[in-house]
Amino acid sequence: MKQTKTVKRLAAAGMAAGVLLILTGVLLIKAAGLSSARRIPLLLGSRYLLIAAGAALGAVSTYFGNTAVQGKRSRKGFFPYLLIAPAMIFLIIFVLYPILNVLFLSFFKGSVQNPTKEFVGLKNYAALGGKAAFLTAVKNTFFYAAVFVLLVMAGSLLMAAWLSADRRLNKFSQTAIFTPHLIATVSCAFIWRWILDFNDYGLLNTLLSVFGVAPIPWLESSQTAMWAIIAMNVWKNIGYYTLILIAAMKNIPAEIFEAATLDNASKTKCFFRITLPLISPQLFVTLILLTIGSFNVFDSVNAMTEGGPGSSTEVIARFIYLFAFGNVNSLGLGCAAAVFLMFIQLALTAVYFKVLAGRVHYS
Amino acid sequence: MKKWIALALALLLLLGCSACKKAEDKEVTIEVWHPRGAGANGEMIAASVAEFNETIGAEKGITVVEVFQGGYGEVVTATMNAVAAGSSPEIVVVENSSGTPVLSGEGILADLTPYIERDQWDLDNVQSGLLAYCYHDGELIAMPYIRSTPVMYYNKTATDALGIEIPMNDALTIEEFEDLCKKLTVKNADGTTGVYGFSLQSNTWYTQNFFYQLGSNMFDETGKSCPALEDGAMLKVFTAWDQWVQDGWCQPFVSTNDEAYLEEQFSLGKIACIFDSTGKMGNIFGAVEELGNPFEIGIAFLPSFGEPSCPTGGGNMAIVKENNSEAEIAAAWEFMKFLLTSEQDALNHVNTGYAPSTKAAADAKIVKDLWANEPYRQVGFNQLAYAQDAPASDYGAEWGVAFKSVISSLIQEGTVTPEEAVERLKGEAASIFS
Amino acid sequence: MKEQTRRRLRRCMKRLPGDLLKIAVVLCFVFPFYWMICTAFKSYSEAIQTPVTFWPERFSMDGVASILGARNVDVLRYLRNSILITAGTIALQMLLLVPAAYAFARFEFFGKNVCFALVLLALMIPGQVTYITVYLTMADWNLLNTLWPQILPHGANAFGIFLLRQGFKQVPDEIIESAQLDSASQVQIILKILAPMCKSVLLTIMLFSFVTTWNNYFWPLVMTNSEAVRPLTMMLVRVLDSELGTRWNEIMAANLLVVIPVLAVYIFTSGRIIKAFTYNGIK
Repeated sequence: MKQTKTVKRLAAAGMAAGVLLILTGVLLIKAAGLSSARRIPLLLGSRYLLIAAGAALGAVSTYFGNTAVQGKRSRKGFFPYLLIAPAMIFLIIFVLYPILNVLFLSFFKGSVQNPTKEFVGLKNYAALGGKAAFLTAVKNTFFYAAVFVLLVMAGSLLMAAWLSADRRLNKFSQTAIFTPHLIATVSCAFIWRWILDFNDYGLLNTLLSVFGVAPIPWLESSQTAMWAIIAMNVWKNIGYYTLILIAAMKNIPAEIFEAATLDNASKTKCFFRITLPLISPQLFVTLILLTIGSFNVFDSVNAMTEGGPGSSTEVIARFIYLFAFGNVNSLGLGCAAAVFLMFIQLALTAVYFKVLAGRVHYS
Repeated sequence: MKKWIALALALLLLLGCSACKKAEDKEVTIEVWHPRGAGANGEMIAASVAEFNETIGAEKGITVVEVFQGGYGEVVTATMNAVAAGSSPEIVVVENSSGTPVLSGEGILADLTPYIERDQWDLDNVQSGLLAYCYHDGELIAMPYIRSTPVMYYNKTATDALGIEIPMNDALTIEEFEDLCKKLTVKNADGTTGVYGFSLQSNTWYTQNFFYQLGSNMFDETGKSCPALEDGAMLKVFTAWDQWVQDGWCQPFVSTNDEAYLEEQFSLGKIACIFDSTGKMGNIFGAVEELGNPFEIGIAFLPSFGEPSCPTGGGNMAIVKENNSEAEIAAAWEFMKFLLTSEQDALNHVNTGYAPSTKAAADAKIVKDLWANEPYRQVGFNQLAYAQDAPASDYGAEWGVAFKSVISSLIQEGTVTPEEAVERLKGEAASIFS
Repeated sequence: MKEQTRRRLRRCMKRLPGDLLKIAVVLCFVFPFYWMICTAFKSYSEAIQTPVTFWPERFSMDGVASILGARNVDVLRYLRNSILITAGTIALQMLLLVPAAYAFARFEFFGKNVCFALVLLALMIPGQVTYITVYLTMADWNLLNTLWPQILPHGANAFGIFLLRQGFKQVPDEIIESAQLDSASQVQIILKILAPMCKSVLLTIMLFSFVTTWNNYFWPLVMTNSEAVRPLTMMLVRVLDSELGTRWNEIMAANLLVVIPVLAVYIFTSGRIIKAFTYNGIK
């Protein structure tokens, strides 16, 4: 047993070392400013050697590590690697490499045309702290995320409980509230912008005026703009999560409820003591997906308010896009903001796991 | 299952084929990336490209392809991305003050001087008032293409009814302007505003113009500070604008696409007076017709705190030298020359309202006819004599973001006083101009 | 008999307020679509007139015509691109996800958690962060003016891996073991046992991919520089930038055109979609 553990540890270390070698090789290539070069001069040979060495080390470590994990030498030893290889390759090229690249570039001051113009270390991160535009974006994004997640979780739970019974009206309602999810966010944003228009022809204000309410400048006032965006996104997403929860609820064996009614349990008690715990795995997954997704809000803000009024709806994703790739042309700053965004999402996920994983009830 | 795999592979192959590139031919193909979307603008560039391809292009083996990329901002982003990726367009049309310096600052634009000398092309023909951002480090890297100045559009039917005369080729003073707008405002019986006298866009070129009229500017010569912050010009303009809104005759701008909103409200007769680009003239006149309540439109110079002046904007065209061969750059120059001939320049002006880039265009027959029939079309051109541009600044874009945010709080929301607004911007300046 | 009907009536009455509320809620959800359709078929002047009309007084094809007839808006090509991109993405995902999910579900191997963490990471990162690097990568591979930049980056669908892994995990061990006893090859196990048993999950993932890819806006916006490879959602950019101002009837018409294909598929397969999405794959 001990031997296996040591082997595993060694293998993990070897793996890490291999990855580091590969990274160093890649970074050295980039630092030479040849990231988009077509020709590959021989000078780079040494760096490619580093990459090759890293890969070899990784492979050997994997071999030994895998043998340790799987116990005996089985013919299926390397088969799982074959299975996940295609997906992993794609993930590495299109997810991991961009993330590392962004991390790397956040230590430079440059532009898309010339990303590594000047090495500035952590100055970009320090500068972020001083930029009102960034701080506002962070504040707004957190606000959006908190309210959005809360509303969708509570709302979809309520809807799920309300619409879960097997009736034709319920089936129809489920279909109806799910429909917005099928429409592109931008389209939804346009439609809502049209309805929330504060002119006379804005539908919502027209309807409200029937009740004697004065026209409210939904998207023109910093008090209401963010709420309007939240409302639109809740409208779009609630149907989908309601369906997930309904499915989860349907999975609870009927006997449990029968037993509860025999014990004269009230409906609310049933809900809180039985339904909620038994659907907690799905609730947990929903919560994580919602939170992660909500920090990435971009399309709806761009289409509905462009960050206004008065930067009350500026969000981090917009900041990144404007600063890194827009006219502001500060790639390093945008990348630093991107790293910050990823860090928040990772931290929140870790918090969720720490705090809530214990409470999730697996049957 | 095998069937599905086969189907999947077939689909992938099909996609691969659709990705086949066309065979290279001896001809040079150049791409023009631009923001001229739908309507008269789009048709104009399409017509130019078609005519060039049929005439000069056919002679010299050049094919021009134009690609719409979105707004001015999107053209810059797309160009930067493409250049970084190693395959650039040949000609790009970017905004004068916000786009051209970004590209020229990166050093990716071609110097046109050698070509001008080679062809003995008459540079004096180009309107000098439009060349401010076309130079960078002593090189001529862009030419005016769809440039415009804003003018004042107003409801002439209403002013005639009130017996007010507005000179076409002179600027009202601010006091006269305020007076005019107050008179044009119509309040409903229930206190809401039926017709606003005026509304000002959030676009900084208007505020910058006001600063200039007050003897100040948005950026100093080095582009490293904002003089208007310190010398009171900004405070004066903010106070005035805020007062106009408080007095109830100036409608605050809206969050998205405020220019389009203003044009729509003007065409509906809900705002009596707006400042807008001459490039929108065709569209505005058309919209007024279409909305079924046509009124006569008057055009005049922008009102001034002092001497008449106007900012310039719109798009320059520039040749990207990075990643392009000599042949491609030379071909792009041919197309550029074509666009600057008096026929093309005149057509551009007549069809869309953008200012003529060349002096010769003003002498073209179609232009002379147009100005004779519709004298207000000449106003923008006349105003060019007073054109001014703020000095370039590396911090321009970021400053613009902060500026817009502050004036939004001031004008849209009314949550800060003009003094507080200036103070806030002073705070922002400290962190941005560094 | 009478007692039964009276009981049914009483039940109806009890349910009535709840049902009415349900219908009201449903109407609120669906109304924006009705409003979009309604506006799309009004003329511009009617769209912005007051008082508002809830049904076009004059049925007008102005909006639709201006989009379809606009210069350089080749709707058929946009549609073709959207179809190709979506089909290609789904096909690619199936090829990548099925083996990967199988490995995660049924095997133990060194580094499994690290790989799974990578999958989780993929879920978190928005397009705004990754796009420029991916753009440059595509440029290096000379794929810029093709449809590939819109397909390849979405090949490894993290969400799909999750769902499918759950699905595969729920296949009873006995079935697989008996197949192994019959010396079935791994490929056969995947193709002949796991996949058919998890048809619902696969369908869910495919539909989810379809909706996400079809409605993608930001990614095509930044990845495509030429009209030849732009999908249907790019029609909305055209409208956003219309020099004619915010012509709401045209905007709504463009949105309608973008929305119709998805809605058509939805209505056509409605029952299946709901069943697929409510599949308890997330356990």
